[in-house]
Amino acid sequence: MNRHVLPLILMMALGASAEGCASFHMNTPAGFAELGDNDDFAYRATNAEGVVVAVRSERNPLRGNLEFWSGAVSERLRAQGYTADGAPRPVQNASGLAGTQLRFARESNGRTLRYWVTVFVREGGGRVYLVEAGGDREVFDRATPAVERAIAGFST
Amino acid sequence: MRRNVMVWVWMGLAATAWSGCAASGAYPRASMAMQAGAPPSAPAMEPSVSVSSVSSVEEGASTGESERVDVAEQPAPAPQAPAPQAPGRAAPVRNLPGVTQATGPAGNTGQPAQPAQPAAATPATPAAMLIYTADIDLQTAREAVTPTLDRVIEAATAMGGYLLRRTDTSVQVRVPSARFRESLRTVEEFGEVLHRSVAAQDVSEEYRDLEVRLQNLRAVRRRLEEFLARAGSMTDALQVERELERVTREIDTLEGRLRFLGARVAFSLVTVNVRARPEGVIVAGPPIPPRRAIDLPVEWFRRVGLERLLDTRE
Repeated sequence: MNRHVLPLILMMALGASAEGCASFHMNTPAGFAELGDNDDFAYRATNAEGVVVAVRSERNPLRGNLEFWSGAVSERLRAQGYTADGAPRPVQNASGLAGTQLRFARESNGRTLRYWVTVFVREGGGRVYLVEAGGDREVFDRATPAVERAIAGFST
Repeated sequence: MRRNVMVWVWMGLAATAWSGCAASGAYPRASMAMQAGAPPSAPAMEPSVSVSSVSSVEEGASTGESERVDVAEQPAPAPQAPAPQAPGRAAPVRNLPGVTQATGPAGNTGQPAQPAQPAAATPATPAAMLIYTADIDLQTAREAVTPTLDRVIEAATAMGGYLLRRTDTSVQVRVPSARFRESLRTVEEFGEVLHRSVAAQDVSEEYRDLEVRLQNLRAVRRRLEEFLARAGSMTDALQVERELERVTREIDTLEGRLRFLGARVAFSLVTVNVRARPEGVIVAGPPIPPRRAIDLPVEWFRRVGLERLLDTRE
């Protein structure tokens, strides 16, 4: 019996440990409602006007650092037609982890959309977090203070 | 008594019209008839002749086209045809007491003002009365449009002219006619001339007609004033006074028109439109190829973007 139970407990502990590595905390901004997770996002919330805040928590198989991932994401988005809205901004999350915030704009059906991607890479390169926020420019600008507070409160 | 006064009035007016017109070389129709020895149709012998019936002859001579007397038809020495006048020489406003040469706001007339003289005392000295106007379209660099408009105004002011109207791209100034040509030369140096047009309107005939009518009316007024002084009854006096008032009003109108024409002749209108030179067309080189999108063997990386973020249905 012990022989069978011990490996099971060991596996559960490892699993819990792995889950712990991927864990993060995100405060849902005032006026937003959580949408739950899906295949892409571990966390998502939206406000009534369609401004969305979400967190990707991904493995880092390439072991790239913050510079690599922020650069790669920036290049890919530019190649897709996004326009940089200012230079990348260095940020720090609530737990002291350094990150880079990329701000973009994009035209879509005559409207201008804002898209912010804040990249964090866990020390040792084990995990990449992308805190994304986006929406129509007008409504996004109104929600900017709440979005900034949410990003500042993101912790790993 | 009243009848006698009326007869005097008519005879006096007819005589005045005759002498006034003879002096100026113009003859109202009634006067011409008298000169030819034909019996005047005017009711000189009619006991019921009134001031108004006499004045209608004068009115007709002064207003009706058919009644207008052409100087060229007169037996008096025919006046010279208006000599062609260069744009740089403005004709003075002649023989209009109280009106010599129009002066603009700048106070420079461009011509010495002529002293006022009695109209009848001076023989008609025909000179072309020309109103000059010019339109010039200039092209300058975009940043030079406003400074060019400023320079046009400064130049006009320096010549004794004045600003009439200004918009973002055009300016209208009046310059002394004596310096009209000079002003055009100056303005044309301010930019590339795209279009230039100069026009002259000859108002000599109208001016002469007005002068003759004015002389006649003044003579009529003098006679009326004499009759008024001699009027024997209140009724006669009132009747003469009414007529005097009408004649005075007409004199004022003619004087105003003469002043207007004089001012237009003395100052020429110059309109300058300034356009910005079209910017040079940038010839596009071969299109820059889009940057090659980075791709990584990481599934989630390919899905980063607004489409996934804003799709809240899942």
